[in-house]
Amino acid sequence: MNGGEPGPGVAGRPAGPAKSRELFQRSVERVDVAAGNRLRLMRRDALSRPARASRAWLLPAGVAALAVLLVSSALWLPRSPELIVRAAPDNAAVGDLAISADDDSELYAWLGDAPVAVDPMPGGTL
Amino acid sequence: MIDAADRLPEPLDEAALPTADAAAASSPDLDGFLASVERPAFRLAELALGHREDALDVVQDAMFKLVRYRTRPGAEWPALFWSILRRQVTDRHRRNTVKRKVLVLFGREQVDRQDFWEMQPDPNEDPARRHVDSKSWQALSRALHALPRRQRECFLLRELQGLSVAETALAMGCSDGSVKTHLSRAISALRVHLEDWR
Repeated sequence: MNGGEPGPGVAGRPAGPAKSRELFQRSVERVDVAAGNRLRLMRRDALSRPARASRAWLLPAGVAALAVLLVSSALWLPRSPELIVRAAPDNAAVGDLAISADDDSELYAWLGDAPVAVDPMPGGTL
Repeated sequence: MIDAADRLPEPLDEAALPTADAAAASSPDLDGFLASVERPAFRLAELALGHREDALDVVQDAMFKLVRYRTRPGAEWPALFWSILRRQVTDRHRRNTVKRKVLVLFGREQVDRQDFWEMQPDPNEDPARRHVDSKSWQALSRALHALPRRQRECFLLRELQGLSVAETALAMGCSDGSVKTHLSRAISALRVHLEDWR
């Protein structure tokens, strides 16, 4: 599209960026009527819209809600099962509960004498 | 997207919209700010996108988004607005690219969407100069399209809109040094593409 461009130094106007800026300013000053009206309507339409609601209240509200949640959960939720810490039995009680070595030997002797079931069928089950 | 013809009103004067006046009166500073930037924003978007309707849509979206920040200090509005506009232009570019690819996929070619440069006639203006301006504008737009996105954004904001380096950096979300680098490269590239820059 360069074919239609003016040559260098047209009408003594500044070249380069300065010329572009001048051209831009001229174009801004003389926006056509239709575009100008549409821009004006857009502006009015935009200004008639509500501003974005401030969200500054969200932080304290969130903190308050969290606090209420924590307090209510502490009050209303069933308590977790307490850890039952049993007192360690005293040595005398341990002595009563302990199985004597004699009892062990009797038990093992009985186990040794007990009949053992044998599977009659090889590979089968009892 | 709504057809532009549906939204295009007949020429009217400002007094014809009492409800909008009331809305504008509620935030006169923002109204003044938007009034001061709407036309440059439209022209910048038009240059960046190469399409008039897309440019108007982008400016409209940028206005709507900026109004959400109306409670922010007025000093922040310029950077916010140009930053929003820049993002809107980028989004529109991407959307158009996807649309173009989809059209190609379905065997349809997109028509040339270059559609810009309408100016109010100036009775004192030489028609030849108007023609030259029109051609220069189109050449500039095409040359800008050939630039990488960041260089194009930098040139539009810094050189055409006249933002300071710091303001441009804020709008582009980069450092001052990056702005200078992008701008330098953009000007070098445009000097190659545009005859009347040499």
